[in-house]
Amino acid sequence: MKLSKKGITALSFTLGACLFVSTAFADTLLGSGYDQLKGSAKNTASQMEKGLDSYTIEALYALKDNGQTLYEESNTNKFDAQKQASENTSVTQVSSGNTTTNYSYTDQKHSIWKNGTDDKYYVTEFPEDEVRGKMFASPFNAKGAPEIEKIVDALVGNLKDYVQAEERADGGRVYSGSLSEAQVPAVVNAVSSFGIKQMINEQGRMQRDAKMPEIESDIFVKKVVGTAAENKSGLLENVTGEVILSGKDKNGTQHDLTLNIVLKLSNIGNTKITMPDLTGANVENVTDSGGFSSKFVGKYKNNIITEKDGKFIKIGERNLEITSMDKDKVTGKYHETVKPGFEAEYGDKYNFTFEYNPKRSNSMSTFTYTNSKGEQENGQLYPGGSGKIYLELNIKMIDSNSYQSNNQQYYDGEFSRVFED
Amino acid sequence: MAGFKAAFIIEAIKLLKKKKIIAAAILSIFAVVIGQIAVTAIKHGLGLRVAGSTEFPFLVLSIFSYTILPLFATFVAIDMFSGEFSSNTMKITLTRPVSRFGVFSAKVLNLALFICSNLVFVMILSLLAGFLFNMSSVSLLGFVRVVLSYMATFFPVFVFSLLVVLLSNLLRGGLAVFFLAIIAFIAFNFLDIVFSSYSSFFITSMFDWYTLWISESINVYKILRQVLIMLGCGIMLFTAGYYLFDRKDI
Repeated sequence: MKLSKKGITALSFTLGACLFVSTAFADTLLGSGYDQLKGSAKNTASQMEKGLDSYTIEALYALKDNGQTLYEESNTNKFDAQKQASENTSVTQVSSGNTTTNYSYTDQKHSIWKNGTDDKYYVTEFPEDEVRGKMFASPFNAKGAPEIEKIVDALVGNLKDYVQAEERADGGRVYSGSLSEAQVPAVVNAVSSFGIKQMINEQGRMQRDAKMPEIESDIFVKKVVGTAAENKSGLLENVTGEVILSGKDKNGTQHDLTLNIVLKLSNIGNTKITMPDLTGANVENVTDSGGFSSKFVGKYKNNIITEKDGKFIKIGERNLEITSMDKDKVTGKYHETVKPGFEAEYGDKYNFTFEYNPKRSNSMSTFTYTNSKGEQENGQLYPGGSGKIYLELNIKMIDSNSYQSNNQQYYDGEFSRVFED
Repeated sequence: MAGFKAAFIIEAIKLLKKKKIIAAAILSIFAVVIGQIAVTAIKHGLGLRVAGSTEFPFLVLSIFSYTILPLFATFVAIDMFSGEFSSNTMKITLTRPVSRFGVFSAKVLNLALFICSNLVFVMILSLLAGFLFNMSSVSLLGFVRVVLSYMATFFPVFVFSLLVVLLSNLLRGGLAVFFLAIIAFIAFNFLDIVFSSYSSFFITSMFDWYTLWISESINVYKILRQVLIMLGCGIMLFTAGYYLFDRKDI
């Protein structure tokens, strides 16, 4: 049978179209190791948010320079959804060999905190009716997460297939992937090298005892390796990652900085959390009134400053007095004095007493007062370090999380304690 | 196929006489030089080694394969078909004792040759630049990887240019074809971001498929699937293009 020219054309077109559509569909359906890994990461995060009764997460970060440890941090987090309790122990080791241990425990009624430097438990008690936030929130459900996911997916592009998935005999899966110098996209390489360089410089300034190598030239990402193990119920149990950054210091010595990350999810369903035994321990109770405590009772003042003929001049004073400080209740007085001759320039003066009930659950709690015209206005009060208080007046609430302040010129809101010698 | 050979040589000579070839060469040199200047500036200014000697060609390729290469492939494809139709020189080509299929395949083959030579040109330039500026990090494996990825990049770009061939046989005006090709290019890239799981359907998402060829553990099945997709798409576009070319009245 001899096919006509038209026949051959139609046949080859159909053949090509079939081949194209069927393989493209197969490719889409099969997905990549990256997509599977993303799916199980999402599943694990949502299970951790709700679904799992209790679990332990261990995290280990280590930074090494040519094999020598610069920084090491291990974190153990225990969560119990039924008791609404969580426990966190973290041990940090810096290059000088100093280790610090932090411990914290939280349940519905208590928050206990202890740091490594002083052997003291700080205990905060919560009122029972307070609604507390979730212990763990899945980052995939955060606002804007789907959009970010799309952008990341597009950036990853064909690197998606660098993630290889392998089935294990027990029904689980192992994901692995590695990128060497040539495969790391140039933009990613440049941005991450620059970021890490900045971070190292900053760390070097902050911690003088840390022996951070001062890498200056030829910085590049040498290798990125990662593995993840998924158990048969689809939870990621063990995630490891390693990034090697290479560079030279000013003497031309080669440095390989290795960052290791290990994350482990374990003891699912049988993590036990017990409250630490505080009998006989050194305990300090921290009151729960927005950071205020009785030591803040006293007088504070702030200068009223204006600018005239190119000079700063003081034209008066703002006086704040905290008269009493009880649990969840701060009372005080406020008045302003202006030097004669400047009254007209300054305008209306405030003179009021107030009662402030800071609530822990609401970071934006305010108090109300009446101004000189008899109108109600809102103000906010924050405690500061070394005997300072910050006061903001005449603020307008936009919603429960944001406000607009209408401060006067040269007003910084900082009130210094007046000490009577 | 004596007729085909003659047609191929004629097309090749016509292509070589075009100013676009020189423009493509100059732009390619520019791209490599500017890239090397940027890399050197970053190296000395910020102390970052963005690309070593064998990584520099990858950096160039990642930009070149999305800009100059498809752009000039589009220009050449439009010139070969729409250009000749509108300047009525197609008559001369078709009155030679060669079948229309022969003429069509000679033109497409020349297009492929153009893409290929442009890639080789840029590869040699960028390798030279990489070697000159970063003598310290030369390796044979890196060299093989560069050659492999430039070779791999040829295929998706060629399939895309077949799409342009189809368009230039479909529409009369060269300008309309050009804009349509640009719109298709942008649309494919945009759809690739929005429907990233269906990226296999968009040929532009394969412009960086050379990354598959240079990975530590080569994913053979994925490469095979991509090859089949490009093959299917290529056959489809080639036949459709030929069908339209064959039926065209001069």
